[in-house]
Amino acid sequence: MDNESVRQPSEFERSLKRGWNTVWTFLSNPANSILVFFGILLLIFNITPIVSVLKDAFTVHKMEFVPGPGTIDSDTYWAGTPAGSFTFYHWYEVFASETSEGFFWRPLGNSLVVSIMSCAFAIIFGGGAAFLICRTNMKFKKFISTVFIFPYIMPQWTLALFWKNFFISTNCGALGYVGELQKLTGIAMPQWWVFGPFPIAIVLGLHYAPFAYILMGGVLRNMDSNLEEAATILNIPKWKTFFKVTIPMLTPAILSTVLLVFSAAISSYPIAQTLGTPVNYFVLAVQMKKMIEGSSGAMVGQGSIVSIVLILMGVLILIFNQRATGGRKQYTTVSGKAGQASKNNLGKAGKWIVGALFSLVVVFFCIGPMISFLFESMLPNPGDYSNGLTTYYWTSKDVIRNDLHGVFHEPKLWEALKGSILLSIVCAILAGTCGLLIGYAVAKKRKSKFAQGVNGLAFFPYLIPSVSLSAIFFLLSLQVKWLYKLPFLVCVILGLIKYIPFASRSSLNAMMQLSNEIEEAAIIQNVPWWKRMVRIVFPIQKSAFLSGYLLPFISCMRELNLFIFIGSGTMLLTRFMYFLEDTGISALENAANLILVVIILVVNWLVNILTGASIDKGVGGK
Amino acid sequence: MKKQLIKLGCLVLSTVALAACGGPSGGSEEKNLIEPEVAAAVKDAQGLSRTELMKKALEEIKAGKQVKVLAVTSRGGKDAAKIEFMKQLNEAGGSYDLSKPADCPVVYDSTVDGKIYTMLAGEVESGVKNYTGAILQDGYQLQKKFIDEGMFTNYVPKEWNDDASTDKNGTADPFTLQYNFKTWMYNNKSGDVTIDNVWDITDAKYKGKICTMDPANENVNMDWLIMLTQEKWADCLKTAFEASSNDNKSLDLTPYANYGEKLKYSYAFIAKFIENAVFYADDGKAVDALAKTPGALGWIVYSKIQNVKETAETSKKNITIAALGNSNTDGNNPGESKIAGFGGFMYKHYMSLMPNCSAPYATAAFFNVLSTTKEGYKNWAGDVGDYPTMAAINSDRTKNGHGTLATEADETGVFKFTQSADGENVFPCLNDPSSAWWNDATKGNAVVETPSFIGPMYNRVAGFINTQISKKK
Repeated sequence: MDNESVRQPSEFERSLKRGWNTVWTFLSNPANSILVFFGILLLIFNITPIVSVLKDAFTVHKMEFVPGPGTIDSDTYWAGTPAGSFTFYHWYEVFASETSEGFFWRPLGNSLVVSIMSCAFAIIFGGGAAFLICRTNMKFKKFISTVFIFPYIMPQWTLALFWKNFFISTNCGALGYVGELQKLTGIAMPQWWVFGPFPIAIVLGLHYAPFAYILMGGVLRNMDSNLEEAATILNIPKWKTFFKVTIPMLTPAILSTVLLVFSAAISSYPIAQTLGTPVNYFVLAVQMKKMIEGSSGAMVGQGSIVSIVLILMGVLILIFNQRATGGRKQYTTVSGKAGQASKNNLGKAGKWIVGALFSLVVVFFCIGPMISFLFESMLPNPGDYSNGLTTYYWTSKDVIRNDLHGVFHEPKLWEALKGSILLSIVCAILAGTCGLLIGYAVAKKRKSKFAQGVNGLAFFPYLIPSVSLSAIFFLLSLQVKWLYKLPFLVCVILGLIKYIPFASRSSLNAMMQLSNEIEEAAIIQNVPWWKRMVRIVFPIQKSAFLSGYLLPFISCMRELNLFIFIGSGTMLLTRFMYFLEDTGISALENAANLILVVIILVVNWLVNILTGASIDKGVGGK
Repeated sequence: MKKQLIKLGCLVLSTVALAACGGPSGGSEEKNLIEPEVAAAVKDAQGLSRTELMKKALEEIKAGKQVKVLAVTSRGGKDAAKIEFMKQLNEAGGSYDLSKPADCPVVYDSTVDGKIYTMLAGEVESGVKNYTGAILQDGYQLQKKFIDEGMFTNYVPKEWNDDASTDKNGTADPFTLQYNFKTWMYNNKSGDVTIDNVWDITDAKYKGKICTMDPANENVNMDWLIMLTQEKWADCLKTAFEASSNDNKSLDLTPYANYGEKLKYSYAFIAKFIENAVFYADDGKAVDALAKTPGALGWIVYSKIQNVKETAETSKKNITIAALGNSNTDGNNPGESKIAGFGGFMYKHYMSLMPNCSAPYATAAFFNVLSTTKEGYKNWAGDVGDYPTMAAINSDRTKNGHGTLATEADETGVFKFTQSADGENVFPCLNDPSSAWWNDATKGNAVVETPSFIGPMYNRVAGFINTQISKKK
């Protein structure tokens, strides 16, 4: 044996091998592989729009005016700074110019007010519903649980319109006329009830209360009541047990709700547009939309800065949320041990009275708008019942106007619906699966900063305004010509990016409740990872995971802004509804809206039949 | 002072950064992005009769090319236009089944003016050949994004050029398919509203009562307000202000004096209009609100009043077009305008082939059908407030409000109105005069959108308008 054949590896080779072994060991843990894969993917997905928004905030755009050198009387001043130049001027315009107060500071204050109020309302209303359903013997649980998610399914503007149509009255000054409530009862609501911060917050809260209901309900349903019972044995008053035991266990769910509701509420514009703009109550999202879409493109830079502000506010909430859920205050509510949930007894009469009252509230807020859509789809003029109802707009085989037939005979509408369903299913499957894996991996490595980073990246697209994402990806797709020719694929990519946060939050929430010991038992038995996922993890938290698929489906079905730049106007139902606005046949628009809501409900019901799980059932409506 | 210092600082930093970056690319030379083949085809097409053009179009279509139009209006893509196009192609040797408009070799998409330029310019700049033509609005964006960038590809149909009825005043380049019209209207159900001078709407009693769209959000309204700063319209506003019909003569104009003796009227009017306005998301919602609210005023697209259906509660009878008054019996002869100042705003729908158009003859042929044939224009012709530049293809709407109104609701849920020129004058607001009447300085005196004025003036006026909007509380 010569010296060469027994050559010892060099130091470099040894370190390479050590490094490779470390990497291999690291990656052989499925949670780590998932984190690395999605870390890279999400980084690409996030960096692209962020770089684009930041670039816009410092660039003079073609249509923008940034004064040139010289005094205001000189031609050079009005010739402006050339497009493409670097500038800080947009920042001055947003924060310190003559229009700043009206275009930024006041709307910012208004946005904060309505977002905080809507968070509070969503948590009280949604959490209250979850508590009554999961932890009391209230009657009509199944009904309440089923209909409670309806407001989330409905497009925001329709809820706002329902509120306005129902409550508007002759007490609303110059804007007022006899609304439905006044017509029915003679009661004339004051203007502050119909327009301004109060109705905006309530309607936003109502729309997002299902978040609180789903997230808090999931915990309440699965929560082992041993701790509460221990408190009872120790003679602790019920209110103290609620605040010191129940609420802390709900903390991660409450924080997730705050994060989702606040981030969504602060960048929501349709409700504020309908209930705020008529009384000059502007919020930041309305301003941003105006700056990006309107003004002939003359305020794109300012719109980008407002986007950045909205994103930063979301990031602050995200950091706060991560600190809270990543720190010590986390509570396992599903363990390997047997547990039982105790129910609070509302009393013999109480359970009927509370059930009936809550049902009434839910019927009004959750079914009322649907009835309103149905009626509106049978009216010639919106909100005008004076000639009764007609089925004409559903059944007409003749052209009503602009080549449009009645709903049952309008092929474009059904084509668009098909497109929406297909896109929503694809997006839900992709976003749901990716979100599930991310949630799993983050929960497994919750102490690691890398995991927290990936978690943040997964949530980040939720904070980017949909209109901006749409425009950015439209322009990007132009650079990849084959992609541009496949608008459906571009929509899928956008849907995947935008809806991963729903699935990952839902999955993370479920995984945080799941004790490691459950999976550890299987690891000891050498059960492969995929089998553990399919046979143990998924079945235990099925309802929560499935909501991670259903939420993207619902959101995608009623999404407009995210796909506004992509493909044709009849590709999706929401785009078609937007097109219907132009025709002036509001009955058709309402019918399309009703169909949209019904389809989502049917899908929810089908999932329930086929898998035994659904969003509402995940909470405990049985 | 502090704000000025910040502003100055920003400008200095920008200039330094610009110098450091080497500045933006591009010079002041005239841009032209029109591909030579497209330019040659358009030049050729302009000299061809419709029949000759259809033959060329058919050749392109047979070679697998397709017309693909993106527009701000959905009307051009309706069946009537497609069928007429197929009919014309058949006359040139095609064999389309006219009962199947879906077979028409035209793909027609619509979107809003806030997005259309981004989409089209994005395609051209990226070298993507997709849309072959566009129907556009918003003179400012048209000027800056299409004309100044050398993207506007002007095709003027021969039939349009040769027709004596055509209004060629400022409509040939950029080629204008039609005028659309915004006008003053009010709900006079209570019978106590009279708007006989544009300055009336600035009165404090109308605060929160003018249903319209936000100029910062709706480019057409922004274009209109900028047009008001043209000397001609400043003069017009001055005259109206001094007229005895002005109910708001006591309005203090001194805050606007620094804009000049004439322009102070323009700026005062803009400020007060914005102060009194209620902004709706679109004109459809604005007209819904107007129809429901007695005493409300509107600055709304005229054609939108057709959305108001006749019921026991709502009626077009309650709506008065300010310039036409309550007793307008015949659009052919509406007499003098009933409002001092201006009667409305004519904005335009422009047609342009795309500079990288893959089917120039076929696209030109489709545009030819839309802009020079009665059948092609049919989808607009029925609407009040849409006026083709080639007047010969328009329908007579001068007695659209005459007819019989049923007293019982039909199966559609409305009191059916059967239009008949010999019938009773049921809806004076629908007796639509011609564009000639509206554009006549001694009659309707409508402000007409002029991109070449809006372009250079936009920055000077938009800042003022935005400041007024930001002050709304």
